Amino acid sequence: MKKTELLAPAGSLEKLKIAIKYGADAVFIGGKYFSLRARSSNFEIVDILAATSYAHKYGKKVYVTLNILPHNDDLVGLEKYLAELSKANVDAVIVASITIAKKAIEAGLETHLSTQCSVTNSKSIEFYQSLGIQRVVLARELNLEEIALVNKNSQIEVEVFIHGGMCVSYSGRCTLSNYMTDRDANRGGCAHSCRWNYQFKENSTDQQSEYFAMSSKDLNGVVAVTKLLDIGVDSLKIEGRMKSVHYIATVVGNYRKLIDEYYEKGTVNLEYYQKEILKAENRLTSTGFLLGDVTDEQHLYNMRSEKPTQNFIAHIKDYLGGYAIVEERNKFSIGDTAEVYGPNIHKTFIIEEILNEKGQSIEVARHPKEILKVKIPFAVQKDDLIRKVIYK
Amino acid sequence: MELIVSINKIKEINLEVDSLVLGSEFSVRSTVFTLAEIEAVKQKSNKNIYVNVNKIILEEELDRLEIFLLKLKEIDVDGIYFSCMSVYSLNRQIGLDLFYNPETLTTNYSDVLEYLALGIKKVVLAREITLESIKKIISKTTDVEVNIHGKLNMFYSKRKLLTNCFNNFEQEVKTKGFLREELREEYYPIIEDETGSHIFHGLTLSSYDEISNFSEIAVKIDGYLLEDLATVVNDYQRALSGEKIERAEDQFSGYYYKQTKYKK
Ligand code: SF4
Repeated sequence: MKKTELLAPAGSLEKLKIAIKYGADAVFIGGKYFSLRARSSNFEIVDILAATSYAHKYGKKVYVTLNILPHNDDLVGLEKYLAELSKANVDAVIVASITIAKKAIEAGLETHLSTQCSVTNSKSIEFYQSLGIQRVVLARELNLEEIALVNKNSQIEVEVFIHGGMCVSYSGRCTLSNYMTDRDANRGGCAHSCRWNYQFKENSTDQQSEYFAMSSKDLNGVVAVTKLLDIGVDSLKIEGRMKSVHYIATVVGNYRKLIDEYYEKGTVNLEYYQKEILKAENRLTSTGFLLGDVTDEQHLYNMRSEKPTQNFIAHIKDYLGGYAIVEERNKFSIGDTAEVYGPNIHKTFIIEEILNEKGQSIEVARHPKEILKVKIPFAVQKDDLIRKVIYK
Repeated sequence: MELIVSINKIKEINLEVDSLVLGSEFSVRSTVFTLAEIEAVKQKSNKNIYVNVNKIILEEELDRLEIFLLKLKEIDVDGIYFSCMSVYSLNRQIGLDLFYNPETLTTNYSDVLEYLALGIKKVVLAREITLESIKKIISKTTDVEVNIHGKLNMFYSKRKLLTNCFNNFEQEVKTKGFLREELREEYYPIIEDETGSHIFHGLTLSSYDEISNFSEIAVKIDGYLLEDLATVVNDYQRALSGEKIERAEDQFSGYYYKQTKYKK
């Protein structure tokens, strides 16, 4: 049986390396052109080449998004760009426009259809397959049963979202931002108008005064993963090209372990993985459509969900003679209980010694990005992360 | 020019237009007519009768959809609007005339030409592009349709936003009304039905001046949520015969003159 792919986002080369280190089988990135998420750092062709070289060294794949809905003049330079991507050994491109799809296929690139086309059934897939598309990303509006049916009847690869932010609307079918702010959501300009506050009015004299936001909680599909593996979808996608290194490492690393454990033992402790993933989550999450119809549980309404996660305290750069060389991220002090979290490690220790750049012992680390030495009683590796353990 | 109107009531079949669009059990954002009603209209009227089959289709609905398309072929309707590509696949064996209307997705001539090359008879343009863009597309092909009048949908979710929201507030559920954003004055119509939640622009798109650019293509008055279609049709007939019709206060020009920004 073919193993289901774990597909992770990367907003930069650094994050791409982290995603691969923590177990992603494939990574998707946004090119500088023809791509949504304009504000997440976009890769130049040289960066894309660096990305594919790194990934291919480990047998991993790199997909590039070209998922805007172009207007007449936005297609200039497309063929040249696709040729460059092909030369950069990109493994696939993710597209929404039929023109971009056809040109990508002509350029010899493997082509995946974006979720913006809201594919919900196998007869639609049949159409896209006839164009030469090799994979479709299903609409996020399907539940597990529906996914199973579509997957069974599809002759090409099927990709499903399992984790990360999601539009409250059907993807690509929301132009609130276009109308309210002149920013084109389908060309990367969404102003997140769905997160603003709205009142419902039955008519112009309605006195309703309560406000609500429409946006959805982020998707967390941990409870559905084993079912999706049973169904045998081809790829599970984590969303979030704007997320931090800590988020990518935590979410990707835990899905990796969960998937491997399930393949190996046929059963997993979901509660453990839920708890681990929550350590990096700074928005409220829900199961989206995966378990059936969406109720008020899946919305944010008045709850402002952002809560900065403080527990990520340092990124390990090296380990020498009992000390980790780290880059500080959040405040920590002597006496704190901390855990090292990495692709191959998950261990707790008490912080006993912190040295600054001059080699002086300090009590509290409080400057983000400062390079420090922290004594750790066991061996750690570059790109392991340190979190503060918070007892509740 | 082909003047099309999508209607809400049977008696509107007598409007002075070339073609009528009827909603069906497989449509969204249009008034639903039963197969029997569609058949009756087709028999009674010598206008072109088109049917909206523009729902996003689930796997379990495919069989029913196929039977429905076969019935439409039997009734001999003159074309159907669709957005889900399953309709295209199923229709290969059936042979109805297809009009592609994925709403937000058709924004450039290159995509339009690709769809036409696949045998689709007509492509409805997205409403988020400028008049200049529309003219450029028309210069490449006249097998396109422009929505010239109606309520513009600007948000479509499968979620039951209102039901969920009122449940959350522990209030009585309402499924039809308006949304008002905190910092804005406009009222945006919102409707929740079995297909999900739909939010519309507060103003109605109108095109009394712009219609003169569309003499070679199909134009549609989208009647959904509109009351007096006879007056609307009449206004366009007058505009077409050269009369100057002013845009009313509750109307606007959509994206005709409004460039949206690419990226930030
Ligand atoms: S406003 Fe919200 S639902 Fe609409 S495109 Fe932006 S994030 Fe998605």
